Amino acid sequence: MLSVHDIDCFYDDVQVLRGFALELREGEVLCLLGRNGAGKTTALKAIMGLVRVKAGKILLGDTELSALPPHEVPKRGIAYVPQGRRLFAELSVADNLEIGLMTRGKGRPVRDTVLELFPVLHARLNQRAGTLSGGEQQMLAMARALCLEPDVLLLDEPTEGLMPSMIARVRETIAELRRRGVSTILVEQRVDAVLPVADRVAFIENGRNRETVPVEALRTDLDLLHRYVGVGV
Amino acid sequence: MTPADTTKRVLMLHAGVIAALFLAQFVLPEYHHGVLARVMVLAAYATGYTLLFGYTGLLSLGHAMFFAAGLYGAGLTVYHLGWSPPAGFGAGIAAGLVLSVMVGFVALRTTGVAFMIVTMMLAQAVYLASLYFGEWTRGDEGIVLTQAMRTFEIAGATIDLSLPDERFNAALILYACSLLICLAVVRAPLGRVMVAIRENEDRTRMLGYDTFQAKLMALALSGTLSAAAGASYALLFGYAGSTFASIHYSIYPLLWVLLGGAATTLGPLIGTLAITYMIDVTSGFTSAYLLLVGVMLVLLVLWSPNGLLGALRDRKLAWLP
Repeated sequence: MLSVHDIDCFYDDVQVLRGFALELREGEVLCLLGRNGAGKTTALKAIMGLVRVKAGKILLGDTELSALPPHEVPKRGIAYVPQGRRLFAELSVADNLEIGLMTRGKGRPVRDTVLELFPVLHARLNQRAGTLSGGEQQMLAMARALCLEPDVLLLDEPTEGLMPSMIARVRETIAELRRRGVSTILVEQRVDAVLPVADRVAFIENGRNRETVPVEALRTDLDLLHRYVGVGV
Repeated sequence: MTPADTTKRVLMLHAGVIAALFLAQFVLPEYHHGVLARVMVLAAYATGYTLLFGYTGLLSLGHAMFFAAGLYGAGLTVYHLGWSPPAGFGAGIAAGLVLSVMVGFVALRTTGVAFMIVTMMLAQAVYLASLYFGEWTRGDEGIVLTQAMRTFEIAGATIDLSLPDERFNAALILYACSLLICLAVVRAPLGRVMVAIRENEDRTRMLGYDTFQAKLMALALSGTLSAAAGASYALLFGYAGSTFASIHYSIYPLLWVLLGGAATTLGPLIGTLAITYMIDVTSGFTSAYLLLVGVMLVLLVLWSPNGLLGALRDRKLAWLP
């Protein structure tokens, strides 16, 4: 459903993505793994239009996302939860969700459905987002993205800085979204935290997608993770 | 508190403020009656300003150009073309709307300090234009609208805007409309997007909003409300001079809003009222009254960086819009 075709991206003169390619299938969780600086976050930003694509193209079905201005991309059903949550800290939890809802003209029923996934936010609707704990902020960032009712969800290191119980909660949420048919690209450093919910794994190195394999392959080829990420299973 | 309770409280508070202002005309001595009419017009200007500065986070140092657009739009058409006050008022609003959209297309290509400088420079250009075209504007001396020019008929009734009661109620209608427009905007989706832009423009764009368009709408609304205040000033007080296009009238609304509370609907009124009376009282004691007012403002902002109503909202009344 979402396909990235040989894109090149730069930060000023520094090339970060070099012919990067990727295909996300409907309803799957694709985990993007790689060392620091490999280009994982840039790949997500390029899909969202936040980094300009200088060559190649990104398609969602028949729509060329890379030809759209950044604010049009979420309206096509792609939601992004950036690294570090990036909430509107001074606004209430309810207002953060409202801003997500308004993007695609969704209403209260969608919010209620989303809050079923994150019951902890129910009691905190009037609280300022900046006063939530790290785990709650992550829940809110995901909830805000889900208020768009996206077909594709991009998650950038959702478990960063979270305690184990919260990591398990994030993992459960991703699994639940997969059951609901949301396709997800997941960028993570904590391989152990996400592999249980991933369908396939793409390894990125120096701005290129080196290999995309079913998650089961990691159990037969024990060297894969070590080769691209520098850790064992 | 449920959202419905909050809405009820907010509406009651704003209706209460408007009612209190209406009743004030029956109890205030003549001098304060006049001062309050002026304060309401300037508070309408500050209300327009806070939509851009307080809610959208865009610090303009050139808002006097919008006030002056309304002032001259109304003043010149009534003075030179013989238009009626309502027609002149419409011309003032139209001038403000056109100017704010034009300024928006230029100034909103910049952010932060650059935005401040661009708006200030454009306002200086408007100020210099008001001096350059002195043949029509009479520059600093200004044009004076006579009583006859400020009188019109509506539904068989004669309205003379130079009379204190008519002037007071016209100022009240202007302020009430500005306040209610501001309240409606900040509670509407546009208002939420404006606040989101103030918090972080990139994040807002990432969530699917055309931030340029939202900022342009905020600037157009802000500029048009400011122009409505300027047009009213010319018609109610019978004077349009280039002083109102000067940098001072770009700084004043910033001070009023900072003191009253940026991003509060009622803060502009509180700030305008407080500073007007601070100047009024201190100028009775010393010719260095602006120094005293400045010191008081610095202390107030240090004590309460979110302004008077902002502090009240932070500490006691979280539901205040």
